[in-house]
Amino acid sequence: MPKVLVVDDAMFMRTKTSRILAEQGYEVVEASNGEEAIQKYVEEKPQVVLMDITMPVLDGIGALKGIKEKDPDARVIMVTALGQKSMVLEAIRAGARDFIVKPFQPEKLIEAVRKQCQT
Amino acid sequence: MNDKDNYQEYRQDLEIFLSEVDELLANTEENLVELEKAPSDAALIQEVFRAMHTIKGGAATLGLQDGVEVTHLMESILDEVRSQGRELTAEMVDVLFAVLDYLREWRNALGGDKERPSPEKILAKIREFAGNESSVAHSVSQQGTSSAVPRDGSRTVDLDGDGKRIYLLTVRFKSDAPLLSVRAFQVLTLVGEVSEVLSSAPSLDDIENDRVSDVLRIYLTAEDDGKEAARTARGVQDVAEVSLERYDQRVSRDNPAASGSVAGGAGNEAGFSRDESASQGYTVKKTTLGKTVRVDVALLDFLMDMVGELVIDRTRLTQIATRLQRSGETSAVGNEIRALAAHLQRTSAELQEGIMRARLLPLKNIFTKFPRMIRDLAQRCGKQVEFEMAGEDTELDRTVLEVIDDPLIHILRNAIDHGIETPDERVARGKPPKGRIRLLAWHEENQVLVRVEDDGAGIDPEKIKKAAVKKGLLTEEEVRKLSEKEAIELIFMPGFSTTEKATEVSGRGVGMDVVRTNLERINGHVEVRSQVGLGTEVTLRLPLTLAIMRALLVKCEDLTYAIPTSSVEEVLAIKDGDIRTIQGKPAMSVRGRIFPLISLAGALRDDKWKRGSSERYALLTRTNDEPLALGVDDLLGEEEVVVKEMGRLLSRLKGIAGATILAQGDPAVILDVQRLI
Repeated sequence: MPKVLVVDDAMFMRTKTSRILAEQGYEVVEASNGEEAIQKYVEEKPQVVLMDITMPVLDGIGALKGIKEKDPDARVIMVTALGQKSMVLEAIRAGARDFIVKPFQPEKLIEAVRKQCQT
Repeated sequence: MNDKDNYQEYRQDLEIFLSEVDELLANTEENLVELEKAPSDAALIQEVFRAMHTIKGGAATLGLQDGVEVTHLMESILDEVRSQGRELTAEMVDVLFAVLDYLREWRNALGGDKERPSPEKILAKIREFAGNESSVAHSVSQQGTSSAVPRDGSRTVDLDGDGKRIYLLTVRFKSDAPLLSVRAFQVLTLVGEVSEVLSSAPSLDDIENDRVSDVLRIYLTAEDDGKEAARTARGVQDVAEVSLERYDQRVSRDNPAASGSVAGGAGNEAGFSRDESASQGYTVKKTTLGKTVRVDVALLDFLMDMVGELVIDRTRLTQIATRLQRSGETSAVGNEIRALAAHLQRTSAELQEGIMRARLLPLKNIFTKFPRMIRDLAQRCGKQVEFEMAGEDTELDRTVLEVIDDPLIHILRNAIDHGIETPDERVARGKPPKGRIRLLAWHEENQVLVRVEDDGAGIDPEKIKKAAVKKGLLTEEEVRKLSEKEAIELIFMPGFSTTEKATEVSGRGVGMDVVRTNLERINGHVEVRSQVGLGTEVTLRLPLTLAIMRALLVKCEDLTYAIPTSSVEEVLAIKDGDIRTIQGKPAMSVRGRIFPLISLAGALRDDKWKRGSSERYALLTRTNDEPLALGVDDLLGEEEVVVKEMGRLLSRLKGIAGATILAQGDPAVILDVQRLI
């Protein structure tokens, strides 16, 4: 089963996301800030990354760029709040493949991850 | 969709494209003039590049191969300058100007549904030019075959006859999709990875600025006929519907060129780039709601006329109220009507002001063409001119703008032809070889001032005096008495021109006298100040707004009078049998109504009942709510006139509302029919 890296500084969001994915049978790895995310990406080589935008140490955009530098083909889905339009635009410019808007329904999350695993 | 619908949609798209082209060409012209002064200004080069790029995208979308080819070559030249350090020479700028002229012609042909100019000549010019230095054609073919994503992020696409087709991918989003603009951006980005996106509506620029609707149209070409692009779009979240259709086929009926092969060896490229600076694309503006609308001037004029009608109704309401009050019993109703009339007056006054404001346009509208004109004229006269403009955002009534356009052209021509000296002459006089012309505009109290300044030779009063004598306008005696200032004023005399022979530049049959007459028609004024050797300053004083009315022009004893059309109900030819005598006074019977007939000539002479012998027409009107027929000699037509005050003393004359200067330059008195009797 594909491996997914869930990056979020908020423990609640992170565990909730992880649980939904684990229930679908995905193997889940977690990171709580951008720097950790880059490190985990290199170590774990997940198929898909779910990346929160606002995080301490290194934010989601920085982490996305860091990961893309290591692996240009990395599949990163941004997890965003409604007010972060310009950030998401920047993320897509930087190579994010998709985005989902918080709060999301489990089906949306599952669908987005499944799509990235397929392509 | 049937052919007719397709054609209509094509015309609609074309119209939007053309209005964008107009804007882009005007900007490009300005930028080229600037660029000539500062050939290494990267921002200007980028601007021109972007304009060409945008036109190319739109042209490709509409299947206009000639436009694609020309803009593409122009873009290539600029690209060499922009990124390969090629020097922008004066010859290069000339070629760019020639391209601009071609595109104007091309645009006008498209707008008028006429045959488009052949691009061969201009293409040859560019290629020949390119051959002199490095090869544009070479660089084009290189671009066409190089990596899939060229340096600026744009993709290349072969549009020739047996090459790829253009497809329209329509993506409809779910109506409740969050962050719609980002979603659209995502679709455009992903589709751009699997196809060559030519342009989109809304454009990338609009999307990034949140100007989106739930439909995104992407014009693209692809090896697989857009199948992968459609699949990709379908895979994106919040996408409700995706459709794919051949686009070029829909327009090829109207554009044989769209499916024909392209002349010339250069490959065709229509770029779409993801970098913000060059990504405006062809925006279909109807999908985004701006804050301004275009309004036909005729509509504004109509509204203005309607306001005039309102004012008349208000006057009548007041009269009715007065009559009611006189009758005593119904004074309550009378008061109510009077209050209503007062309110109507305020409302109509505000309405009138609002429409006046809607008629304002920035001077930019006529200023933009001047830099290019100055450049060309200076070149032709062998003079060097630095041209500066300021205050082009100053607003004026559009009629004023129209009226000052020709005079300004004339004054600027004069400044170059007669004002600025040749570089040699200037150096000999201790001036820099390059002359300077400034065009300034600003507000001053209730007026707008527009000034043309040059640092040329100035006007020599002695020369003017001599010329005036020579032309027989004045005698030696008369001229001797003139002050310097008065002598300079002579240039406004009809038939005056200081040069022996009209030159190619200034001589167009219009002189400063025409300039002055034009300005006086709109209550404006022109002043000239000049100092020999130092330069000349011509200042136009213009009214901010105009009191304009439609008037019927009539002839009476060889004089022309203007009568507001709003006070004329009907015009009749007088036949002898029509005139009766009632209580000893002449009257006309029209469809059973009796109109006392008074003579305009008589009324003006305080002998209103005396019939003029040559009165052939009667204007049916009313004064103080009483019907009245006004006899005049002849009808000259209708005209929009600008009302001018008559001055303190004359304004007290009964029955005269003001004066105006007619289109042909003759003055006319405007009559106030209400007060005539």
